[in-house]
Amino acid sequence: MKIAIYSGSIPSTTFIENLIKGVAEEHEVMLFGKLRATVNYKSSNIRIYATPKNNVLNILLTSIRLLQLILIYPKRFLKLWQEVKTYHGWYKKWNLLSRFVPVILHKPDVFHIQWAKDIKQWVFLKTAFDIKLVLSLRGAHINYSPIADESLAEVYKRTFPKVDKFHAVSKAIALEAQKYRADKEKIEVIHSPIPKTTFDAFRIFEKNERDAFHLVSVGRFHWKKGYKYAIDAVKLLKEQGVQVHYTIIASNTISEDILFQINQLGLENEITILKGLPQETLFKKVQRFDAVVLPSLEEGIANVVLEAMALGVPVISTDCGGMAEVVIPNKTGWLVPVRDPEALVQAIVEVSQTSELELQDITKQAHEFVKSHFNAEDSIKQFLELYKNIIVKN
Amino acid sequence: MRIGIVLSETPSYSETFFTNKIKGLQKHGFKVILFVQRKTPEFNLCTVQLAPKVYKYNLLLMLMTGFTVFLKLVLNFKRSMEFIKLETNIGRPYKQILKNLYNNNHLLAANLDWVHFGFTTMALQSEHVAKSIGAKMAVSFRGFDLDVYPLKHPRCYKLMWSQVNQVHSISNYLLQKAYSIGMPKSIPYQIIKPAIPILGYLEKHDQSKVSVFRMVTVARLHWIKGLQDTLEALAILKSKRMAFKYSIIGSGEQYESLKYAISQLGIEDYVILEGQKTHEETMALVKDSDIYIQYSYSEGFCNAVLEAQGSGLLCITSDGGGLKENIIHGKTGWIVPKRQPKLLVEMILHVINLPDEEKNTIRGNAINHVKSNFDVKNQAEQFVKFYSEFVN
Repeated sequence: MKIAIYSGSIPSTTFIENLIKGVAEEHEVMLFGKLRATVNYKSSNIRIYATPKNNVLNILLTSIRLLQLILIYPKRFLKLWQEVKTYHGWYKKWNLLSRFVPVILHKPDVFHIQWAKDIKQWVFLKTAFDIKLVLSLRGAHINYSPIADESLAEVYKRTFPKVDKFHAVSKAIALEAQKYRADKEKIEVIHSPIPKTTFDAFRIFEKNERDAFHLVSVGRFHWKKGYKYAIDAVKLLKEQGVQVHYTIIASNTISEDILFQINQLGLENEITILKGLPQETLFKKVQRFDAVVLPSLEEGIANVVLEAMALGVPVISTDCGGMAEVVIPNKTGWLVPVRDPEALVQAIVEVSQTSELELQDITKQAHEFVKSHFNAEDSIKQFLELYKNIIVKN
Repeated sequence: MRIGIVLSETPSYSETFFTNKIKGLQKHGFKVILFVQRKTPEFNLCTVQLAPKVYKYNLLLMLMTGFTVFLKLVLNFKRSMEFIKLETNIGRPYKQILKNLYNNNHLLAANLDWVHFGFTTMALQSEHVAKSIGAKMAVSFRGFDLDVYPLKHPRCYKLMWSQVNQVHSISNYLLQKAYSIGMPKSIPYQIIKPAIPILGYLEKHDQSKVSVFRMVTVARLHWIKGLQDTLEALAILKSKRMAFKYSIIGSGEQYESLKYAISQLGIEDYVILEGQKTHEETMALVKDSDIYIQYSYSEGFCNAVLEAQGSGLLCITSDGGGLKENIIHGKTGWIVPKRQPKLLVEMILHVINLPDEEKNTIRGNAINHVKSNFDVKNQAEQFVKFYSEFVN
């Protein structure tokens, strides 16, 4: 079976790269999209048909591919041209051709779109070429982009009925996608796997003998991360005389609003901002904290929380997206409503007053939970099953 | 007297603060010249000088403007040399001095008694301009200049403090803020608050017969405006089964997050993001409302709240920054501690449930407050004094 895993760029994010490698053990995996950096895959099953970033190279390569297509598959070319014709402007047409032509030339059996917003330009693969479409439902693309952009919502409603199978990263997002006419029967929940090395880094939780309760959040500065609410919580704790220190580890520079908030609330001594760290150092660092907090407004299922659970650190998370599917009160962590600093305060105080033994129980259960539901082998198996079902069904 | 006002662009009609200031000064016989980077064709209040354009990709245009700038520098040789000397003395890198010579070219060629930077950040890299052309230097404080910019660029105004002759603050809050970030107490200042023209009292419709309360905010969709907090308060109001409509007039970068908040909080049927409106459209919408909300984290002063009071709206604001000097709590409106949606909703409920008589008293007070304390004519006179009665 020839399976295209499409994210728009090569290489892609870690979890998509893991998917590529996993699927390549059984099938031929085709990669299309812009080449951002050179990649070397060990598996000979992975074929790269990239569109070069360099303009001159692109003109050259696309012209050759175009010629190939016209000569070998003239009918395919005509069909493709019908599609490209609908776009306005020659530059746009050329640009799309350079992306479409390699796909039509090598024609995969399944085209798996990783980011839902891309569905608009690729849906013709199904309607004109009968290539099976799989669409992944992840975070922002489903949870808020179509709310803020009504025209995107319309695109979803128009194109989702044409998709053969959906992959949802959580039950919650599967439900959300149904608002845009994704057929419930076609949605498969497959969790994003956590690599084995993360589980291996697990440590039995020990309470810190420090003066203050040390909290940490990991993630870039963006409104959907809800740091504002965690900072409000720190302010409330300080007012209550609770000794607390909050660290945010982010890959990008601090946003203006958060900088201003920390200053306005006078929390410079209680809050530390750190630049992103390489994973191994990050894991060791996170394990020195008393709890990981996720104050987000929106998530698919936040990887940082899964990782913290795998590592054996207590987690406090807002009940957004699919978080409630993994953070189970009294069992694997603490769950609080979104946009509610008081609830965060309560959870933080609770964690700080929980005995070491109890915390060890909870973190152990969390570790086991993630291990059994989010391991790489299972999720790859589920994907393979999903692809197989599409083809067999037809 | 010749006053040069430095802004990034010519003020639009609705930026009454600048347009009134210019008109007022002209009436008193001052010559006002605007120095801007962008000019709108409609603007015709006074002479406008454009800053030399910066071209990065077009070599021909780069050479042409470069040559004109060079010519002007030669023609103003003494001033240019003075500028270079002052810049060198403080150890400014040569590359930056060249850039500053280029960017300040239009100012270095001007004959002025005062160079007045309309925003504090506009004075950065232009600190030596006034001295080089034998003029005095003034800066105006705006909220962003002192509240946000120095957080990202600590000590950015150090050189400016040593060069400025007089500062203008739109509120006491901003003046104190300036002291807190290092402005020496010895610098002469004047607090001149914004002013708006009052068009007269418009009869309000009889609230007791209307079942839906209309609330409004006029603000860019920017984080400092506290709109997330406002929406969270309104979600609580909804849970109390209140019927209301809330409009936000303005556009901006927070559109996506606000749209999401409205949906997440389940108040889609209660809140309208109106987008950008003209001043007339805005005022029409404001006058149609009962309550004006401005729950910002901070404001330099906030003209929108002034206009809402002038239109006889019941105003509820936060205590952020200069808002405390704008509203008289309990008399012309109400002030709620910032960043606490629960307190905001309590106040909204309190105001909605006030007897009509009391509401009307507050409305009248608000209008009178604006009429007597934020009068355009008065503002103009204060600016005349700002320039003419200055003693070094």
